[in-house]
Amino acid sequence: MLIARVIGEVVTTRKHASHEGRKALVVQPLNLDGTNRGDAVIALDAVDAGIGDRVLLVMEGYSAMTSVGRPESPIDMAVVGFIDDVRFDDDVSAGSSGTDAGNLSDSSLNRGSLGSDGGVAASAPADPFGSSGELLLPGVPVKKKPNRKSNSE
Amino acid sequence: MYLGRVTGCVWATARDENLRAQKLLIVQPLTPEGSPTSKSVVCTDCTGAGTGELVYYTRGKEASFPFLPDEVPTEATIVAIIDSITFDRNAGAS
Repeated sequence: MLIARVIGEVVTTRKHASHEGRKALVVQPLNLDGTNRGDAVIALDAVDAGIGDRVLLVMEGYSAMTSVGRPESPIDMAVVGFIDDVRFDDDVSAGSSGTDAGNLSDSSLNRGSLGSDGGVAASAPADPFGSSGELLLPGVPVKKKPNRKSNSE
Repeated sequence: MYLGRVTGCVWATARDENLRAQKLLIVQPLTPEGSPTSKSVVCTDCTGAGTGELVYYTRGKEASFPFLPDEVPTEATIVAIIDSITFDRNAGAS
């Protein structure tokens, strides 16, 4: 998963059926310092994100398909969460940037406090995966939900 | 998925059995601003896109899923034709 910012939306009429009913967002992946990380990509929206939101982006097929609820469809990227706050533990990240990733996975899912994006985060659903749950097609495992909440990644 | 513009097509008379029904298009990857980002790729197509059209395409195994149950050996497929893009590079920047 990557941290990214939604910078736009794409309007399409002719598209694969699995993309119907989901927003296609223009998403810019970010480095930890907020600078751009590569080129902007297009991701389907699983959490009702909007322009300006800082989000979690998955760039792998299985996770993207299941989060959008369309198994076996040509979807390789999806926005799967809002980011309220990212915190670094000074004594861990000060020495080398290589340890940032593990540190980040703990704090990025911390929804308890609002960071500088407080205004955006206030409109976010308490549990974005709950809101997409009813859109899952039959046979799609919904057991992802507890995994995400337990910060196991 | 990646943004791109269809710049041409490819004819290949000898190809894999499962690839035989597929139209092959050359796509130039683009930034949202419209400038080229990397080298062109050859894509299969499930939308009926033509030369000059702005599209987005998916890469990897997912690229073959529109053609199921046929197992088409493709790694890039156009999945939508774009009508318009709205974007703001400064959106949400604080």
